[in-house]
Parts: sequence; structure tokens; C-alpha cells
Amino acid sequence: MAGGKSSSSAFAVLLVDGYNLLAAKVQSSTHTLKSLLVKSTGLGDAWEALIPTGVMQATLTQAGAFFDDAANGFHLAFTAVAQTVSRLVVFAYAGNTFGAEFVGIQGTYGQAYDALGTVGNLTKANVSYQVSGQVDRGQIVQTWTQKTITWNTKTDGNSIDYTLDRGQRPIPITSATKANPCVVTTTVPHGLTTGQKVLISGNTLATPNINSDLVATVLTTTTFSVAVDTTASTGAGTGGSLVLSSTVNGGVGYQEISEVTGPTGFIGKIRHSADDATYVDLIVFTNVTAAPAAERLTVAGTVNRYLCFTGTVTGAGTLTPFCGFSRT
Amino acid sequence: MSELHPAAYRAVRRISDPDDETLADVGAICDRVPATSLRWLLEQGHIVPVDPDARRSNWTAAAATEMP
Repeated sequence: MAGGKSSSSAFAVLLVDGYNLLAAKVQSSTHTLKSLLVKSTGLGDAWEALIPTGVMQATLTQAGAFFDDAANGFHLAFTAVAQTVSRLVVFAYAGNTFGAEFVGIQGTYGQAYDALGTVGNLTKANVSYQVSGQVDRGQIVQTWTQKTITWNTKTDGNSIDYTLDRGQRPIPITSATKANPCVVTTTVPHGLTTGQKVLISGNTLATPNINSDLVATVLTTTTFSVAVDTTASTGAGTGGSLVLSSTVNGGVGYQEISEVTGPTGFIGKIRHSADDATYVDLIVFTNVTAAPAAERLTVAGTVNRYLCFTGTVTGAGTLTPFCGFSRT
Repeated sequence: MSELHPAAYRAVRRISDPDDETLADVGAICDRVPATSLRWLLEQGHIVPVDPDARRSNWTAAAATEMP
């Protein structure tokens, strides 16, 4: 699986069980994800045979970085985070912004740390981390940001719209019929499940058109119908594309808290909505009373188009949370 | 498509508005839920029809108490 090499400004979040492992003045950072294989070569085989184990491994490195001794920072993590124990790791290499991609990993964790020298309270070192286990890719629904009072990313204008996810692959449309219901044909297998919602755009049917958020009923691997009567529509019905606006296989939420100073409790919650008007609780994380803290929760079934994060703070003070959600 | 009426449903999961104000707690009638949202909530199992048998027995009991 492809890896990536990022500058320090892009490697914006790196938390392990709530410990902040992001160093300052990083000269280079890399992340590599690979699928672990095991040999299955038998007697008489001319070539080495390998089969996937189903386990992923992530390797993260920070070279020439300066690590400080701040609370819940690297040095505390280095001494406190034992190796070969299952840990929750989250990192973001495309910026610490709402909707940006993050990677969450739950698995066996190991680290190698080569100290190169010390300047004041800063230690220059090369560090590499390896995590083997479940790897989830998703979107940031709450940036790693210090908070003081209860907040809601929907009312703050930071809710996430899945149709804008850069990881989506627009599926081209060949044609749409003038019929009731309208039948859409895609150029490639659409991979949809009946009941899933799609956002169609650019198709030439008009009055009515099908360029909106619609529920799909699967007919074949390249056709599906939508509940729009296009019998009287004008236009050729050609062109356009679709992206998913809901998914049906559940997902995984990661929450990590790197700091709690003052508050006596914090409850983080992910909500979802199909219409951005009425919301339903999707994941409610356990009440957090101290940092560092980390939790990974799974949810089954439909995950709707819009996601938002609500943080309910009890007591006065500050806390620094991070939350990401990965659709399965 | 027939219109759905909020009071005819009760919540299976907590339903809220954009401000996270509760519109219907688990088990509560959805009379504060916007009617335009009922269809997707119903299709996904977040709300269910109020038990028609319970409604009928409640009406019967209410009518009996009102009888002279």
C-alpha cells in the first residue's frame, strides 16, 4: 500500500492513547501503510507464495525532530507508553482541519527512539513508530484544538458533508431514462446498495431533473432507479456523475483527549443527519475525567451525509480533544 | 407520497435539532420532530409507529371514564 512523505507543516496531528507525539522542528516525516503477508510456499512451488493476513501495519517516522518536556508530551509518553501493548493511534498528514483525512489505528504499538543531542529542554531525535492492527481512514470531525466550554460543530459552521470528501470517487453516468421511476446507467459498476443515498450532478434531464440527493434502488451492477418521474422531462438524459451521500456498513469513531485542566467531565458525541435539519446520535463516547484518554467505538448500519461533533464540558477549565470518523 | 405525522411515531434513538436540543428522547413521541425529516428517520429505524393496539386501548379506557 502506498505511503507518503510529508513536511512538518502537513503532519499536523499525532496522538497515541491521548499522548501528543508531535514534535517541533521536524526535518522530515513519513507514514507508510502496508498489508502484512505470510508465506504459504509449498513443496514443488517454483515461486514464493504469499497470502494476506488481514492485518495492516503502519510505520510513522519523524527525523531530526525536537521533542519538549511539556505535560503529556513526547518524553512523558516515551516513558509511559509501553511497547507491545494495544494502543490507539491517530494521525493527520493533510492538516488539522475539519473534513481533512485522518488515519486511526488500533493495534500493537512499538517505537524506536534515537536521541541525537539536547538543547535546553529540547531533545533532538529520530523516532519511528510501528503499529500493527486495524487501520481506519476517515475524516476529522473535531480538530485537535483546545476548548473551554460546551460546543457544537454544527452551529459553529464546521459540520462535515460526506459528498465533499476528497476520498470519494465520482462515478460517471452514461444515461438516465425518461420513465417512472427514472433508471440511471453508470459507465462502471456503481457498487451501490438499495436504500443508499447518492448525490447526482450534471445530468441533462430537466423539469424535472435528477440532480439532487436521492435514494437508489439497485437493479444491476451498472443500473439503479431513483424515485423521480422523468416521463415528461426534457433533455437527452446523458452525462453527469454521482457520489455517495450515505454509507450502509457502519463505521468507527476515534476520540483522543490530550489535555484536561479543570473540567470534571467531558462527553464527546458524533451525530449524523440525512437532511442537515434533524440529527440522530451516532456515537457517544465515555465520559472523560482526565487526560490522556483515548477511545475507539464502532457503529453499524447507515451513516448519513452530515456529521457533527458535540462536546459537553462539565466544570471550568480547558481540554484538548480530537475526533475522527471512518466509514466502513 | 403520503405525508407522515410526527405524533404518530416514537423515537428509538435520541433525535435532536442542529443545536443539539432534544426533539425526542428514546421512547418519546416525535411531535416536535419536523415532518420533513420523518421519512428518512423511519426508513432507517430511528422512529417507529406508535403501537396501534396501545392507542386503541387508551382510547377505549378514556371513553369509558367519560361515560355517565
